[in-house]
Amino acid sequence: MKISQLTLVQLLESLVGPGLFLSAGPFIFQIRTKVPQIAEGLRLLYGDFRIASCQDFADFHIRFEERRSWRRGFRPYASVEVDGDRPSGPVPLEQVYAVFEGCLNWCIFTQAYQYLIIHAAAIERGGRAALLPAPPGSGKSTLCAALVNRGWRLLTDELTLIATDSRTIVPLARPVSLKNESIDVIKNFAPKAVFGPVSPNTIKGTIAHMRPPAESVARLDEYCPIAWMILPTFRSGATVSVGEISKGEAFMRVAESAVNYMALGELGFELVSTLIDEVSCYRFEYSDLNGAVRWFDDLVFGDKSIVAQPSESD
Amino acid sequence: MPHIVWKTFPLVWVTWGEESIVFNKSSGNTHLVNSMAAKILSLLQVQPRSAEEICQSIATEMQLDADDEILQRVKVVFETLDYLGLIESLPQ
Repeated sequence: MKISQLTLVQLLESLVGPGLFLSAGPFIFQIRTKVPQIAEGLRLLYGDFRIASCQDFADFHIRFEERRSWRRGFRPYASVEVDGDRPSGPVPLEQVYAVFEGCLNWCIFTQAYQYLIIHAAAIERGGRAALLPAPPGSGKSTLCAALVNRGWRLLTDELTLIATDSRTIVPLARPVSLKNESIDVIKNFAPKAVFGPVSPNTIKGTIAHMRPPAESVARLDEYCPIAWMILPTFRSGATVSVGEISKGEAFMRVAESAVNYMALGELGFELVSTLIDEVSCYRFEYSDLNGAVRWFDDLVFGDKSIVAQPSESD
Repeated sequence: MPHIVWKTFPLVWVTWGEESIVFNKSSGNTHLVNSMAAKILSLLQVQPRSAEEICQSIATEMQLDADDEILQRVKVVFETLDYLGLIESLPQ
């Protein structure tokens, strides 16, 4: 059963009762809450995700509770608990949905060490994936959101899981996290895109999540080999500009972006070196999303001039 | 005065052209090094040697005289490799 098949009342009942068992890629999250913003976000953003049975084993147990305290002037806030830990202090209700998504990320990057976890987006077309590792603010999620609204499959927006045996990406296809100006940029670029609750005034500014395409969620079981590693940078006014980067630099960028590279030790080194050996590595600068999507489409459909002609306006 | 003899920590690496990525099994640290540093590490992995012996090996391979300029360059690389924790000197 999918979340979209529940009525709002049924969704709320499961969230306040035994919990909603959300199946997202290889993980099952048990979510318990009465906070309406989280229920609304799940309804808007996770409609195509499967609900696991409450008899199933849940990897993570998440609880958000609405509270009031005289110390906070009786203003409502949410407390967060994950498997007995408190990954966050009290959360203002206006920001609770962004914190909820961050909480799901926290579960994965603190515990899913059976994978190499890279802070990167990943998208797929034609059976091959492009890995986009980049620091916050580089335009990675904006580019990812644009591409998945133009036919690319969303594998993941924030955390890329790489299977250590096959070096394929294990899809998560969770909602794409957009910040500040990027929210309106994508709303204009893809007017039919669905957004969840807006969380203003976070330490990263305003955050809103975009619903993943239904087809991407339907294909969560299809792991994908990586063909390209692309380091994106958004620069206002820039035309699309591309350059190859050395394998050595690419290795260091992946290792720096990996959450658990050090923890995996020699296995991490062997995994990243084999991975880098197998992929083409580019630096990619853009500002115009249509131009960026054209370049990515050419990458798949074989336009050999894409690297030789670094700027589309030249 | 005898020369200082150096050995590597347990290392694995991969090379692409002029660049090598070296993984130190003892520390878990990873380093991007140039071809000169990779060459020195590979010679030290065969057996512990002094900077002077390494200088001689490199000069012979490149068909050059093992002069003071090459030795100074080798010593600078040794200092860097020591700083990165990739090599250590043996007790004299």
